[in-house]
Amino acid sequence: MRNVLSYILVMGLIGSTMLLTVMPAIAIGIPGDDDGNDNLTEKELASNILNYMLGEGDLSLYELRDAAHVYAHWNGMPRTIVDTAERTVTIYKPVKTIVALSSDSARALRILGDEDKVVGISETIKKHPYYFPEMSHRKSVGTWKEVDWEEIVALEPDLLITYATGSINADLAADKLDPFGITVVGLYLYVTDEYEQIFDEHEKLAILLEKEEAADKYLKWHDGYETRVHDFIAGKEKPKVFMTYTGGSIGKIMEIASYGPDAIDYTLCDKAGGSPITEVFSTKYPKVSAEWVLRENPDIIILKGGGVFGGWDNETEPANLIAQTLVGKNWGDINAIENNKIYAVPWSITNGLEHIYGEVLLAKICHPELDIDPTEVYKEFLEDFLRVEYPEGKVLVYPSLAS
Amino acid sequence: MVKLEVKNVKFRYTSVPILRDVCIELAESEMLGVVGPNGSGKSTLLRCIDRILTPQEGCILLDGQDIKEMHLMDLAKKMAYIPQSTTQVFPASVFDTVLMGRRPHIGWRSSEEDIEKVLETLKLLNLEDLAMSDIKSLSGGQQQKIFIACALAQEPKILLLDEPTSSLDIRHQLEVLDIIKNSVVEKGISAIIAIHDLNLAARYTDRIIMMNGGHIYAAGVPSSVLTPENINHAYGVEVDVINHNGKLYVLPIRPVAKM
Amino acid sequence: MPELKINGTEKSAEIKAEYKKFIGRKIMFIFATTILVIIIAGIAATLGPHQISITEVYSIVWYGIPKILQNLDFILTHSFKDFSLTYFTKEESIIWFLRLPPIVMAILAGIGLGIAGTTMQGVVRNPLASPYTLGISSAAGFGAALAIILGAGLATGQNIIIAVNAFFFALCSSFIIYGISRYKGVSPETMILAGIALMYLFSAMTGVLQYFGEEKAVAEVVYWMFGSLARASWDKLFVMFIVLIICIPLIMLKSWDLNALSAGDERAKSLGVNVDRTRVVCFMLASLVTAGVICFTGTIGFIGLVAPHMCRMIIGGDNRYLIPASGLFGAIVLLSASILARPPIAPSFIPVGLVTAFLGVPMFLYLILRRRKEFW
Ligand SMILES: Nc1ncnc2c1ncn2[C@@H]1O[C@H](COP(=O)(O)OP(=O)(O)OP(=O)(O)O)[C@@H](O)[C@H]1O
Ligand SMILES: [Mg+2]
Repeated sequence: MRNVLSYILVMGLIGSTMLLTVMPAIAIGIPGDDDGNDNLTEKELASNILNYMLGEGDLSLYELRDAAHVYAHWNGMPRTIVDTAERTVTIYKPVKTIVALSSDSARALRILGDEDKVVGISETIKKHPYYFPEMSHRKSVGTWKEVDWEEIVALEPDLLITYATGSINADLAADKLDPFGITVVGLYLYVTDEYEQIFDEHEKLAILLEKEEAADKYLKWHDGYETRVHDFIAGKEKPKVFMTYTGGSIGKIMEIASYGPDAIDYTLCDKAGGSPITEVFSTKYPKVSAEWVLRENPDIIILKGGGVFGGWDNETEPANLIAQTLVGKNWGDINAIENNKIYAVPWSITNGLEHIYGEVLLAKICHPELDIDPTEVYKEFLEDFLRVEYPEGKVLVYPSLAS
Repeated sequence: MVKLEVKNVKFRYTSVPILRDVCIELAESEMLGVVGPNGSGKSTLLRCIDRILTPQEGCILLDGQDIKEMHLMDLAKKMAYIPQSTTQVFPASVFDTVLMGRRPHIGWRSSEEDIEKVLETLKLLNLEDLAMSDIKSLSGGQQQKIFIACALAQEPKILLLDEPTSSLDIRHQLEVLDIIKNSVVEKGISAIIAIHDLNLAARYTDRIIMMNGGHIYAAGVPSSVLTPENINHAYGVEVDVINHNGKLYVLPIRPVAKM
Repeated sequence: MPELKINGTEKSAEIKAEYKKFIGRKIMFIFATTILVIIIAGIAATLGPHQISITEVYSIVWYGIPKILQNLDFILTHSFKDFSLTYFTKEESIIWFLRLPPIVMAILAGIGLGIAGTTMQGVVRNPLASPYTLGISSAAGFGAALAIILGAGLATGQNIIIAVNAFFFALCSSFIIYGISRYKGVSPETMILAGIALMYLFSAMTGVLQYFGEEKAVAEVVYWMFGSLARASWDKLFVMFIVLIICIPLIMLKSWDLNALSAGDERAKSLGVNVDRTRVVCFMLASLVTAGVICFTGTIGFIGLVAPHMCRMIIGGDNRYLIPASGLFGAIVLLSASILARPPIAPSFIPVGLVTAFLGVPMFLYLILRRRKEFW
């Protein structure tokens, strides 16, 4: 009995300490906001400038500039968003230095035109010097699972962008970096299963970085294509599509991985005017058998696998992927196979902000008469938004679509 | 000085009764031998007496108090039981093993007095040279002696020894039983010893009970229990019992059908 | 009659002196490991991109404590973070908020796992037992996987949910083992077999989750299972500390009883030990310690198995000394591993759980080869 009691005691203690972990928000304010009400008035700014000129001010010239900026462009108020980790993120002065921990955020930063502010990156960004010519040469502070917090502190960034969940989630990062006054924002910036989230996130980042215009320009471009696809497929009959993906061990397992209605790939396929045969599943990543696919008899099979950025370098790789997928499947009688409608597409169709090209690509596969060239869309994304040359000769889909 | 009474004890592990109505009274300063063929319930009886097993029926009284109602530590101060075979899992020095016998008397720290007790016991059993060796590196007989030392260090009022001499050589058998007998006489404690060697039983015990199939088949002074008839009945062995220099010797002749 | 030695008393004095020396050696070992923990912790605190020398580290820690104590009211009314921004220099903040938490976590986790391992081995009288073989680690892993995979996208309080889930399932598994042994009799065999069964059950359930999980989340789970000190923070350490400070003294109080168990249940009972209760209480305490540690660190299973063995080879099996010794030894192994886990070419870390194995196995083999006597 005594033991039971002591366990209850321990559990109670643990429970109560867990509650303690919720700590009040941090109080750094706008430079020059002397009364600390998060509103920099004309009077406050003026007196600070005066004091500076008299040589007796508390603020440095840099801080004074920030204060002037906040007064002039932000109406003297801090900028606040709620990030994807549901944390209130407030900045009190313009962000000048950033550490970005994912290639997704790196892409967003390029779209917003803030790549020069980046002082620290993760290993993933380092791996893609082509797409992030400046950023990839910045100091690498770690990987998706472990970073050196001290390196980050040493870089003295104003803002750290990380994922909302995961090993280096925003909560954890804030735990580590709050004592140093580094603001943390938790944004995925890749397409999550909540389709609209990425645009929200992109806009929020733009607010923090004062780049709303660039974000709007991107969104308009995106919505333009989305509307065109939407209008085009309206009323058209949807072909039955089977989407599968490979993680490398193709043919070794009996089951074949696919996407259920909750997965983003399913949503994308649906938006592109296809009718995924996995409609009946409740799990996000259902595993199906070759026989089931045979029975469902899809009109189109789409195999996702390979290069994260911009597809494959040559056609042999996707060709092999398809060949390996078909090994031992007995799918000869499926419509898709009979009509040669099995396509390999790269992972990047659902990557991040460029995924509209994925939607166009899927739409083109389902409805070849669509008058948009997915390659052109991707090219526009790279050249107009990421501002890098389109690497000629990339294979975005195999076999190539008849235009 | 304590008095032990075993009253109408019945015990079964599963559905088969192992002890059927066993009654024993142990006098002060008495050395009681328990003999009987394999599986006759000797070890079970000793386990019941030390409350390692709880009899389904009957009771065991220590100075009139039912041992079921006693605190475990108090019981351990009064009785020490050494099982038929003991295996030490983790390394431990002989000294520490014997010191373990002081467990019922000490709290978390061992006192100077306990250490003296251990030294005394080691000396008594002539184990001093082994004091710091690892018990697992010793021979079976040496280990058996150490566990007896452990029981003696426990300073119980009643010693329950299950075949304490089974792995000892002829000299050590005599030595160890002499020491136990001396303790019984000098300290006024009692001992119950399950033993297979009938000659040793006859030589050292004051009284013998002979068990057979969970019953006490015969009880009394050695000369009245160890008769050719009883032995023939319990063990199925034809023997000669002879008297040599005032001591009883059982000489086996051949196995026969049980009477 | 045994012949009494003529120099009997001399002999006794000799043994007594030797016994005292043995005890002295054990205490020395514990003392030395404590010192070593402090030294290694100091070294670990100097490692990092900011050059902070070992003397600076010690002085920052030394002066930091009164600084914190004096401003306790500020910390309570504001927060640790505001405190750090207001009162600490950058170096101080780095030491206190970035370097010390993983170090303290390594120490606490090492102590906890070492002691839990020793206790479990004693409880089931089997030197191959550890929190891992008794299914507790895999249960914690399942709890974490459940939180990571099913809670994917659930951002608020995710870190706490993972820890709480891991903790809860770890305890669940030990309650199941307790229940089974309550029903079947509290024997080591039942406990070990039930533990192994649970280990497979929870591994299988984790497998199922991983099979249907999203790739990112699955990678997350695998990473969690490797074990890491990177998630350390003062609030977590506080919880861990509370669990340890409650359980470890209770375990130590039972060290005589654990010693008695080593000679077998019957002998232990005859020594007045309530064998079943000792077994259950110690097992639950060890489970609680394990759960309290691995819910924050992930599964670092190896220390629980190896630290007790190594210490047993060095100072013998007396749990009164073995329990603290293997705790401290566990701390040393984990601390050293955390140093080795950050190779000079940062930022490529190796999970500390893996380094522990790489570091521990050679030490272990060395002791096995060097030792002539039996191991257990
Ligand atoms: N743990 C147990 N579970 C079930 N039955 C048991 C158990 N221990 C002993 N028995 C049975 O009880 C009977 C008596 O066993 P016990 O050990 O008391 O005999 P013993 O007289 O000591 O024999 P031995 O001379 O071989 O030591 C045997 O038939 C044995 O099969
Ligand atoms: Mg027996």
